[in-house]
Amino acid sequence: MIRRSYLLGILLTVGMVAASSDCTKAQTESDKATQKGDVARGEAIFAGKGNCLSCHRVADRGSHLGPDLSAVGLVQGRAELQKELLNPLVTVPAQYQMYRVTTNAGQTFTGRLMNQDRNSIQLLDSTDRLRSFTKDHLRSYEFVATPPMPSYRDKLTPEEQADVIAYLLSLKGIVRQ
Amino acid sequence: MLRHTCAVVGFLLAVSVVSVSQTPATSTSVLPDGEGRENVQRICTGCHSLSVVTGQRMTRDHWQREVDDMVSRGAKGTPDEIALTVDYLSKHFGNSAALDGQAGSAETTRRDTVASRPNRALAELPKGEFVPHGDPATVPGGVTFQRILKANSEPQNWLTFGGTYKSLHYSLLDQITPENAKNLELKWVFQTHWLDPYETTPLVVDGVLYTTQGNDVVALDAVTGRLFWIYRYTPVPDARLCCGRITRGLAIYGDTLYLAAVDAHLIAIDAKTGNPLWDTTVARTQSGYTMTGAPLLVKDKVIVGVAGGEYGIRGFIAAYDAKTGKKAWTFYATAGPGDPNQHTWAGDSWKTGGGSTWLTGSYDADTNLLIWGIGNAGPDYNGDLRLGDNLYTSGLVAVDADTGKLKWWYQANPHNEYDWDGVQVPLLADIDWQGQPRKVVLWANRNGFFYVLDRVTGRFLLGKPFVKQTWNAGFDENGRPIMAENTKSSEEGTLIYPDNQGGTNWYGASYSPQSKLFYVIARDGYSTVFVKGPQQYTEGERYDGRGVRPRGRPTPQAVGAADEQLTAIRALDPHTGDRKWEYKLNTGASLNPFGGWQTNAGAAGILTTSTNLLICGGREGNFVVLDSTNGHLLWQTQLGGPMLMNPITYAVDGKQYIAIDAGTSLFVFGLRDGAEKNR
Repeated sequence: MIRRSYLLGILLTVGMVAASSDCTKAQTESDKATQKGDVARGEAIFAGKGNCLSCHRVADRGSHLGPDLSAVGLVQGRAELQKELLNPLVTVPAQYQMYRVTTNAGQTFTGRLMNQDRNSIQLLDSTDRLRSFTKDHLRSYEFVATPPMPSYRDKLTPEEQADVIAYLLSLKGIVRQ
Repeated sequence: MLRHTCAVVGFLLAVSVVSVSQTPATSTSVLPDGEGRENVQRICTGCHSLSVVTGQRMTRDHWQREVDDMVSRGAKGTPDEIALTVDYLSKHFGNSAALDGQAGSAETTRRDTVASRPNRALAELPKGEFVPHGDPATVPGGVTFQRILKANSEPQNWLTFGGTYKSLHYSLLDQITPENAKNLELKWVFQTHWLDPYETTPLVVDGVLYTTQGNDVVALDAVTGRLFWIYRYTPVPDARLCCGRITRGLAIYGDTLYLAAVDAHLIAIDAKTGNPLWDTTVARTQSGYTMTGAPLLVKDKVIVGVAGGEYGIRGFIAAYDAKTGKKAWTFYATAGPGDPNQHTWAGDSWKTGGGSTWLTGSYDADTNLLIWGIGNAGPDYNGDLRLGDNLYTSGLVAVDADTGKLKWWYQANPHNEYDWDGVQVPLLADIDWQGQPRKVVLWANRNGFFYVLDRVTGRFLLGKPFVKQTWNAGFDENGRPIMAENTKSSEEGTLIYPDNQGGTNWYGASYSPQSKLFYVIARDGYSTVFVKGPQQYTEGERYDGRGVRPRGRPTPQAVGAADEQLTAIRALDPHTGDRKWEYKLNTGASLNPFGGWQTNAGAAGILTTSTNLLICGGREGNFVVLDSTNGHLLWQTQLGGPMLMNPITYAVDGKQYIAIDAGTSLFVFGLRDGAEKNR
């Protein structure tokens, strides 16, 4: 029976920013961070005040629009997480930029761009539904200029930020016993 | 068990012309360097992919027989080239070759999802290790057990392998009718980048079509065929693959898809993004276990079967927790210690007795029984090494879906020596039987017989041949077959009808509650000279106990002349087994796209609808729509490649579609815009 937890697809969605050369250092810092923040308080903020589940997924909760964070604690350290929390503008990968289409009838769908070609657009929309549109039926289609992830510099107190980071560092998948 | 390597060629010969242009994709890079490598590349890939070769480990004698058989089927080479081919295969894929890395492949375990993500680094993910996900059924809008149970209430979707748990391959969609079928037209094509047989039954959920591309899983827009995402999966290079890298379908629960990968891994995949969620090892593929069937989701468990009957496996059905991937139960298809029927196996022969379970079974909610077909005993052709009836091989078992406990069994061929699996999907129908309503199993077996069983008790009600057969001289009162004289496999050879590919095979039958007829693909007039030979068990090596099987080679003179050999759609009265009508898909032999001549035996499975349509296709590429009441042709088109698995039908935004695999592509048809009202 396998005991260790590993990232599968989750790694694919959270690993873009992690710099391997910083892993050892980041791990050391993450250990300190875990001690600093409060995991339980961080989880509550993550699901509540921070509204993080509106984009992110942890286990079976949350959205598919942003990176799945179910095991983010295995691949990112405190430094990376803090950077993404406070200055996400430079760290959000292109595929997680929000995309918006508006039909000729005026209906708007926003979500994650999954695929496109000359004639059509495929989207995972904000209701978690895979949708396909032919461009003939669209009035407009474009990336949303506003960064999908806000900075939490002014939205959370330093203590709350530490709690959220402690929670994120604790996310290491679910281990089969 | 399954078609052995030789037999695979029979239909791989018919791989579409499209495949020819893609042949270079089957690179010699998967073959180790050595004298004869180019010969293997040229001769073998004329008919099938190299995975059929690299998955094998055989003795020199065994390779010699395989190559001889291939030559008899049209493989081309000078005597020196053929001898060099045998030398090469014996050296690099012999039974003394080390298992690891023997194929010379640089392939490693790799899983990746691609959805408009350029420059994404591929993650190297260890096998058998996973992150369990949350409960898939809690996802809003996901596919629940109740939805699958009532799949007929949403006929626009195709939620499980057989359409419903009863596996009738019957749809209530009624937009396409006998009157307007002439207005069908191609809507889109999904071309796989794959050369092995394409036998996947797609799933359709609320406008998204899930299917495979070889071992990969893809999500497509069901209206246009455009990709939402691809999940790429590379099996371990030393998997023992009897018959190519085949995956016949998927299961879905909540928003999680389940893939039974050919290297015997069960993998859960996020249906929204294609991200893998967990991966668990079902069996040791290096011993010969593979998985080629679609998983079946029942309640909160994913049920899988295994292939590998040619490798001395011990077949089983296993259930896994859909949420965590943890095994819940196992039912072994060969009766071992603790099973009252262990005495049907001489000595320890149950340990290597085969009994694969490589097609998806059906589920009867009324009795909470899984009804699942069991493959033949191993070694296939030499029963002297496994004296006894060899329960539960070549039969049906009914096991409790919660526990895996056996409720009843029926064995169609005790002590089978003809390679006739009993894995054909059982259809669960409610019919009047001798004046009384009865819950029955309708089952067309590879042995050439159509059976009716009581599905609550397993009681034998009817057995009647639907093709020429020479092995059966009747049944006793319990439905046990009475063997005809001189039908035992022998060293000098025993001629038997039907052949080892059977009167039918994996392509599924259909029952229409509308027409009240049972429809089966019948391969009629085919025979095999069964020759038994010595066999010793070595892990990971073929274990079929056979000698050569002299076979005729198709010639131009056979075209149109060998009418006694044919593949046909036959409509049977389930009460009697009597034939009501027949539509011949092909007879004799026809030109092989790779050169020479080939027989066209075999076909797609069958789909019927409430509007009395019967939809099917043949090995030679003809896709047909018939009137299910009389077999009259309503519409046909040529798809340029063999059709090897059942078509499905679905609807999106009120428009009905028909999807079928042909060659290496998925073709989707619908009525010409505006023709829907033409009824």
